[in-house]
Amino acid sequence: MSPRAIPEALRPLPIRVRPRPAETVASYVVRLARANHLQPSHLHAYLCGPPDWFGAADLGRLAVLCGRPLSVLQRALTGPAPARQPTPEPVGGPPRPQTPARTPKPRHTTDLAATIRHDTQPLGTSAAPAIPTSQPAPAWVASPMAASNGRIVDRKVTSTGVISYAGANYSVGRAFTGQMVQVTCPDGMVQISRGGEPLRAWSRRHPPAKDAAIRPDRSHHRGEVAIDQACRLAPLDDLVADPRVVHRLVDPTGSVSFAGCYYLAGHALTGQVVGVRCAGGIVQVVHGGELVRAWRQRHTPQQEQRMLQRPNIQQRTANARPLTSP
Amino acid sequence: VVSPTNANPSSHGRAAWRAAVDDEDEHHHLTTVEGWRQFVADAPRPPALLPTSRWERLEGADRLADDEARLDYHTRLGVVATSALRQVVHTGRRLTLLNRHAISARRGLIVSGAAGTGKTTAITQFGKTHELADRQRHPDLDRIPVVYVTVPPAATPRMLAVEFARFLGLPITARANITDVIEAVCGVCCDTRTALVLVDEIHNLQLSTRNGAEVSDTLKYFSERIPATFVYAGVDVERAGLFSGTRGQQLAGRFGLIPTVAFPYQDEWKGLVATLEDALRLHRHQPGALVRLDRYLHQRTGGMIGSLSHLLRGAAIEAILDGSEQLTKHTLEAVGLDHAAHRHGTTGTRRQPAHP
Repeated sequence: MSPRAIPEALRPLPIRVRPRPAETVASYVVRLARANHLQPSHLHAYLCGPPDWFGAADLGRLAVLCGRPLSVLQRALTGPAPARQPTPEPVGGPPRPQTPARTPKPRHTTDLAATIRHDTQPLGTSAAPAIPTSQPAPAWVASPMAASNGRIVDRKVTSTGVISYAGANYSVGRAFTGQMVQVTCPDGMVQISRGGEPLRAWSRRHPPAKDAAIRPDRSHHRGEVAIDQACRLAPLDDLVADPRVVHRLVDPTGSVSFAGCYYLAGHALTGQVVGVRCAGGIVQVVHGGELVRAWRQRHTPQQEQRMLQRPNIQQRTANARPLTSP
Repeated sequence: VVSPTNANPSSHGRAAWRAAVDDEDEHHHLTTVEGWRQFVADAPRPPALLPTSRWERLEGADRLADDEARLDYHTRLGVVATSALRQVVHTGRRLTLLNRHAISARRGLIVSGAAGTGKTTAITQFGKTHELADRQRHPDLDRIPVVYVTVPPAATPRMLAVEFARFLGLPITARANITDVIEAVCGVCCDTRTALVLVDEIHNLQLSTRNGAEVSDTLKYFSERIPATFVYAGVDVERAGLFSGTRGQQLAGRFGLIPTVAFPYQDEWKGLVATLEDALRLHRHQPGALVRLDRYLHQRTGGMIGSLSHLLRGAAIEAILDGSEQLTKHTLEAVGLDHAAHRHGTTGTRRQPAHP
């Protein structure tokens, strides 16, 4: 059953909650829902609005429901709630069922009060288990290489919304399932960011000795290259003008075919179009302007040359799309 | 209780009426907290009645503004404090005090009577009185001391719970089950210190059906969870079987019954007509003209205050529109009434006395 079955004019909620300075939208929505005895996920879906009731919360709808001017919310709240990337439906295939994005919930009710109490405190000053971060980004995000240990590794968020780092699991949130995040651990704090935007910070739960032995990349696949290393070796600045970029549709196994070999792009990208290029002996898989995977070249130069003569041969198939379509 | 008074007209009052006329497109319902709050804050004052000579010299926009203000006023014409209304307010006030520290088995009130006898007016005026008193003690808008809902036809427990949620402004999606809705409603009502729950159209509740029994159980559950006094209103509920069966006996044991009936042709009726006539704002109306027609009005309306109000308001509006500016028997004859009153007027059947 879909929430669109109840069309109704927006009205303010009976209990008003004042937004806190630099509070995230997700945190404010959760506090607003709890104050009005509503399920946060239900309120979040209602704030997303028709037709999909899915994605990031609409600030205009939130302003009506919380009874405060939109300008006040825009000034008080930081970035939008994390939205799950909608998957484009395959050409000719049935539409994929969509489910509303879930607001990250604390694991235990008793954690909620601590989370709300500490969500406006600066990073590193609280003993709370989870500290939603706020903008502007802290120094460790603005200049990641200046972190104390200088190591930033990439991790992919699992289907349960966690990453594994140095033998311990750290939660990022189900909303980021399948996405790559960057992790660093300076001064006993595990800090998680994505594309320069801070996401979560946790007190270290793994033994400090494991920091030294941590692998730069968590992949079990042989031949995979760390994201930061791949970016250094082959910068993405000239990606748009690079004629070597071809686009591929990720197959149901999460792989793309490139020059006669299969390279894993990730199950989270199944059915989506990604850009692929080979530069400096590294095959880069790009999605949404962001490098998601990098592999050592497994194909031969002859295979690549033949492929570049007919770069977009998959376009003639039923499921290929231009690179700019997603 | 708002009663029509001969308040002195002022420019401020004219401006308020002008704003009211401008906002006539905004429809507010009592079944939402915003509409209820506007109803509670609404204190209509009679518009300025200019001297006849000055009024006759008005032209164009000034004449139109004067007519519009008086037309809007006569669409409402205030509320008359009848004996039934006073009984509901006083009894309800006593019950809310008695239930203040009750932890269960709170007492309630049922207002029952024929259509047009002023049941809804009585319970809403009681709710208005209670909310105004609560606002004086706690002048902040975080409280919702009164909840007003109507029982929808063919109601199910979820429909009733959604009615409560709709009044409070809680967004209910189809994903929310009845437990979610009830939890949200009870939680918000407790947090906002709801002390009075008015449930109208209770005759839509048929205890003989499964859905009706479940709705009754839901209301009972609400009354246990929400520390408030529940007041029901409906058409002849004692004859509709609301007090029969196990659930009916429980209702009968906890709820007092106040019947509202038609007015007999006695002094109270004459006083009612005189009060309504004082509230009229017509330039050429002769004071006492309606009082002399009280027997005719009683025969025409069958002693129903709803029909009387409709008749006088309709005739007053007609008098403003045609420029006669007075109520006569001829003007009253031109206004059609509801079928019940019309049947009573043609057959001349007598109704039961007001206070047995």
